Amino acid sequence: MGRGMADRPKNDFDVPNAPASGEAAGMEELEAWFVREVLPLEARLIQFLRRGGRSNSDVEDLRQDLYERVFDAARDGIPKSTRAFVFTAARNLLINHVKHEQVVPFTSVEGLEDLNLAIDEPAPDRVVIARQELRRLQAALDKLPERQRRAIVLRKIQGLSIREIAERVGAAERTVEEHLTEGVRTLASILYRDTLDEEQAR
Amino acid sequence: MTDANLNSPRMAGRANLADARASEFIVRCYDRDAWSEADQAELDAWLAESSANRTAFIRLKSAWLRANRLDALRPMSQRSGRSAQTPYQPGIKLAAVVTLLALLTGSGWFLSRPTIQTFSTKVGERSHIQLSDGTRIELTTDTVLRVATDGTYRKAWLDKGEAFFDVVHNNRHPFELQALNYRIVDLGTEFSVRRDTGRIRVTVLKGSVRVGTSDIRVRNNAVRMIAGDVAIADSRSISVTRKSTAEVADALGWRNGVLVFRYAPLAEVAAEFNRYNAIKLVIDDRQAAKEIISARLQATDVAAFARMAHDFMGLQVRKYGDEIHISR
Repeated sequence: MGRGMADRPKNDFDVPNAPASGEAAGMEELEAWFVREVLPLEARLIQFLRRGGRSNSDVEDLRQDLYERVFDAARDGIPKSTRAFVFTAARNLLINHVKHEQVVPFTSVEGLEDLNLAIDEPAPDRVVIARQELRRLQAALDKLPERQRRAIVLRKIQGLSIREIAERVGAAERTVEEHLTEGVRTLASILYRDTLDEEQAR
Repeated sequence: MTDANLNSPRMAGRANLADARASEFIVRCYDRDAWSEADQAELDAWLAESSANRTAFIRLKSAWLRANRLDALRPMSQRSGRSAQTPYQPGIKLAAVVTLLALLTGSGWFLSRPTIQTFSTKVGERSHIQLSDGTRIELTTDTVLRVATDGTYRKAWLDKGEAFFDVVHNNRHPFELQALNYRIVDLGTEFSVRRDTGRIRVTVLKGSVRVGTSDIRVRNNAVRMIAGDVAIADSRSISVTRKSTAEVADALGWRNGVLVFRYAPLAEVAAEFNRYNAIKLVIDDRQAAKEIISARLQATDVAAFARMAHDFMGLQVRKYGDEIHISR
């Protein structure tokens, strides 16, 4: 509020809400949107892509293809309903994928009609999310394999660098780095997928 | 996802390759000891290769940054002058790690930490908070603030919205506010912090604050601000501008429920009103969105705004359900 003073030269303070013109600003907006609206759908999305007995590797590749398409499409304008947009793209991708599979499992396209259910679900209350975040992180940490957890704890809670962690646990820096990279991947899978278990438990 | 999946070896596949590379970049780029300009160039090139790479990176980065909240659990005594000053004592350190892990794996380790209280306001609400140390905090509409205090430890997190802080200064235990990837530390002060998507704005009314980040990718990653300074910071940089007393007062008009606009485009005015009201303003055409106005209005009086748009700007105003549409 109160910005855009006529008597001042334009600078990045004066036009913060201007539509993204440069690549960088657009990219930040896209990234924020992706984190806020697309990633929380991952649990449902994975459940949906798993139908038909695909291998985990196939499911992950489909997820990646989908994210790529959704992200590219959003460059032209962020969709009004991300949920509908993402699940429609998922359905199209899956239909396309099924066509190209040599052997089509009988159950592959079952569950497409469940899409509407997924689309109509209300978004979770953001305030509730904020309150639950620490507890969720705690639960996620508890699920990490031992060495990954130790590395993440030392990095995030103790604030140590990779070198300091290596010294402290008596391991090579390269090994600590591996525990951290595996750790962040596992953490992402837990944070973005386990929410479904919570929902179903309720 | 079952535990069995978590522990199984990584699968072959395109997604696996992108995730593996993205996680390496993330772990290194948030580690001061291990990140160079050349690494940054390599990352930028890799991200530019495909949106598949970029989304893999965004996804893992977001998990990594979410885990930063775990830092709330770090004991205060270990925040400054940590390991560097301590001689290397493997036995003791290992014991410390084991104890820490024991604490973490036991249920309720979160509860044994300083109490974290969450304060929030709904759209259109404002709220006042008084902390036990005398610090006063005002929340504006649609805001979430978490506060942790245990007598020696004063830390808050602005999860969304905007809050004004009148901090009772204590040299030994500075008040620290975390928003986005920034820390705002009081040096005896009254200041306001607003958080929007991917950006924060810090306005200092009295005294001074230090704004800093441990994110090495932010240019000028620590600045000291004094009364009249306004800083805008996003994930890449901080910029500070000086404002007149009147401008600072206008920017903080929300404390009295007032929104002040000077030469602001209609689109921005509408966005600001929409933060405060369940009835949303929708500007239907681009020309109208660009119209420049100056006004001082009650934040929750959408009707006054609609009248102004109609009577003074000659715009068409129509109400459909919970939306007020404005066009030429």
